[in-house]
Amino acid sequence: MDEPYDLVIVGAGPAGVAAAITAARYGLTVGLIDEYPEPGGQYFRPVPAAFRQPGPHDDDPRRTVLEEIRHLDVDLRMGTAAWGLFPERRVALSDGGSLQGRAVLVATGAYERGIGFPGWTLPGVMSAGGIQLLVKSQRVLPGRRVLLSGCGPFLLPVAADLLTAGAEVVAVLEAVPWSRTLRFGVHALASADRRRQAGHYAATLLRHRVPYVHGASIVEAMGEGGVRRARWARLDALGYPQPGTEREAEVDLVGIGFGFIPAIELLDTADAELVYDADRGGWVPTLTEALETSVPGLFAAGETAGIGGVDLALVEGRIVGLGVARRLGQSVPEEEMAGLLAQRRRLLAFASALNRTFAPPPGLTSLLREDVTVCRCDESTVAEVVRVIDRGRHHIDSLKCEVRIGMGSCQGRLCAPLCADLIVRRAGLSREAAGRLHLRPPVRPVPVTALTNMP
Amino acid sequence: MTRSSDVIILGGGIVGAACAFYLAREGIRATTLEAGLLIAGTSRACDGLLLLWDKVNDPEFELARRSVQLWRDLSGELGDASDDALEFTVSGCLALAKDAAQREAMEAIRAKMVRWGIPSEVTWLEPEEISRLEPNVARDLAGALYFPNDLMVDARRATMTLHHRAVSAGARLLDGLGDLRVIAEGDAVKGVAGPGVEYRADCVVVAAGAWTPLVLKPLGIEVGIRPRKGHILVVEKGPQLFRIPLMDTGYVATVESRAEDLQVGLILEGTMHGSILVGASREYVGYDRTINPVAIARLARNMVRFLPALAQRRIIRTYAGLRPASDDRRPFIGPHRAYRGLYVAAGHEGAGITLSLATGRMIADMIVGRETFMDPASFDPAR
Repeated sequence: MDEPYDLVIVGAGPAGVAAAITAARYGLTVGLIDEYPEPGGQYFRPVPAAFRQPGPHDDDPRRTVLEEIRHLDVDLRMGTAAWGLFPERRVALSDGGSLQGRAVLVATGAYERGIGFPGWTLPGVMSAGGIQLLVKSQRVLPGRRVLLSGCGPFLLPVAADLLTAGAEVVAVLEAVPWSRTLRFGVHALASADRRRQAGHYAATLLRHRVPYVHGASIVEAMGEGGVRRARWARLDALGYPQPGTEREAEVDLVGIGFGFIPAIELLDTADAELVYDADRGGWVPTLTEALETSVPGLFAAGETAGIGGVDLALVEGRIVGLGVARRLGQSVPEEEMAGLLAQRRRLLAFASALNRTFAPPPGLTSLLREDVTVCRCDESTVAEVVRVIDRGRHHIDSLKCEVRIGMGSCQGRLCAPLCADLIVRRAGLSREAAGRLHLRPPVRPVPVTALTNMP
Repeated sequence: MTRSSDVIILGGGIVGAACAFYLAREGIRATTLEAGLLIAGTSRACDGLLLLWDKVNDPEFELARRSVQLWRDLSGELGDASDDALEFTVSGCLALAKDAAQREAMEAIRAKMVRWGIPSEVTWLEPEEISRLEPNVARDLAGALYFPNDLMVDARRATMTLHHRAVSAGARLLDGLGDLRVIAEGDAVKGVAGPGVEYRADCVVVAAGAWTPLVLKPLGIEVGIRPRKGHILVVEKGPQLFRIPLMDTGYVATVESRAEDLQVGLILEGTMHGSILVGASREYVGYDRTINPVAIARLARNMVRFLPALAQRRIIRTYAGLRPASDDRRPFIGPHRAYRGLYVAAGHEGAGITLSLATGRMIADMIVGRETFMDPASFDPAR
């Protein structure tokens, strides 16, 4: 066997890159894995050079980390996916190889949270992030008339990108009411950076006369073979659509973005302890101050540790880099670590407030009408899932005994949150009690050759 | 809190479900208790083939033959609902021989089948005949035995269907109870206790699969069952590559071998939903159910050896289940003489789905005092 790396990092987004740089500066051997060809992650996703166009966040001063990492001795394993985490901290790769680390950091980011509503599986209903990726990185406009619906500030840059690219945005629907966002907004806009950004988005929406409607959500997407019309409605205080407030418009694209869910799959396969924390975006690992999980030598940082944004991800990456360096006998200045930990506490408080403010309102689960598809892979419906819940199966994993969910190619990423919502609604349990699907490798579909090529 | 029933079944896997199913039909108040969630144990981490040819000794074969008949009866009874409730199919089975040694092993199996009086439809196929039947199977094999009458169910659906039928007939079913233990007073069992709750009954059937030794140990009973881990790969759905479930003689050798280390044979089974289940491996590693990368790599290489086109597919899931391996290759079914009212129904290793119905039938017959369909002495739990 090869000599293990001091630190193997899965995910070359802000957290992973920051950890790699910090560890490499202390002389640690670092392997950095990402499925994309370049480091950067979703936040710093680079635009292919052939486009000769600026990418998202190109002018962001925090991008310098991507320059820095090229000048350090970090083994970049780009374009390969990590699909399993096996004993002795060995990370399995999609080419059949593996990297072993004295420590392993999982910084695999987050998924977008969707909701289920009639028509959500129609072609033309996409995640807001998926749209942004197409528009900014691929220069593809997936629709001309767009409705955006979700919660949280992320809808605004997506709207701005669509408008800049020449699409018409029918409306931006924010499910959370004004009263709640205003309270948070005062707090958030204390930062000059965020004020400038918010002003820029507001101006863009205004210039294009795009209505930014608070306390509203899509309730149905309609069309044969693809979305042609969308209906939305005002929501009451709990998030239930108010009858008589429906509006409809012709659209050919619907963007959905109800926040983010930490990508904890690799941690789960290693049996790291996870807890449900709505303020952190859902199921997250229990972590020590050094961001170590319950599995010795296994760390989490960035969105995987809890939804918190790019600044928190950078800080957490550095904390892990420093902590691992110190553990391997490097002398790390105490004040450097203390400073980062203080920054983390401050950013965590902000992230929690943001997540609390923009949590999807509970009444939205009423959109899961009987005939709505829950599992795209096996076409199971709400009615089928509810029947099983009513038989007393009140844990998401035991739903699998009787209805096909979590068994397809998406491995439950889409259907599991919807099923948990249904258990909460139907059985009156907490989201935590409804449980989650326990994942095993591969955490994503892998070519058979990934296994046959293993030594 | 105390609740009482006539019989308590400890374990909600397929064997426990089958016991509850037949007991409830006898009008007996049965309660099935499952420590974990339904069905988090072995009955969901397996394939669904109902086989005769792989049985390795006479009593097990006799039990299997009866069980297969009961599966056919059950499917007939469910009628059109059977498709949905059991995913029952007459799939047949093709047992492939990759070389002369495996061919020889197959011939021995065929001789055994003749001795057991298995109908003559079992045929030997030469390589070119395999290709006509299943064009995607590797061309360089030494032949195959074809069993056209073998059956298949979905293990998960079948288990739940047995539970539901039992409940409709008056049984109770409780899961997620936490660690359960048998209550004994003097030389008689009095029920089952879990955290904060007691269930009283004068008759307890321990159907805890690979966990049976842990349940019996506090009663001072040693039983020859050990957990033996088996892995399954799930291949993503795509255009159909084969119709008949495929196995090799390595599977039987794997199961028959009592070797401690990792053993791998072939089971390839297409589900009604288009995905493909790939087994089978065996290894003794205690109660560890984590995925062993070496095992899944060997399973993948083995399946590509027999069905090369699978190399172009993707693996979407893996899982591992603990097969309750019996030391002498025979399950434990019947009353245990150490305690009045104590029954055991466990130790079926990888044949639990096949053998579940005959096991449940036998336990129900014993409890109501009816003569069993075969002599149960070979399955005596105190042997």
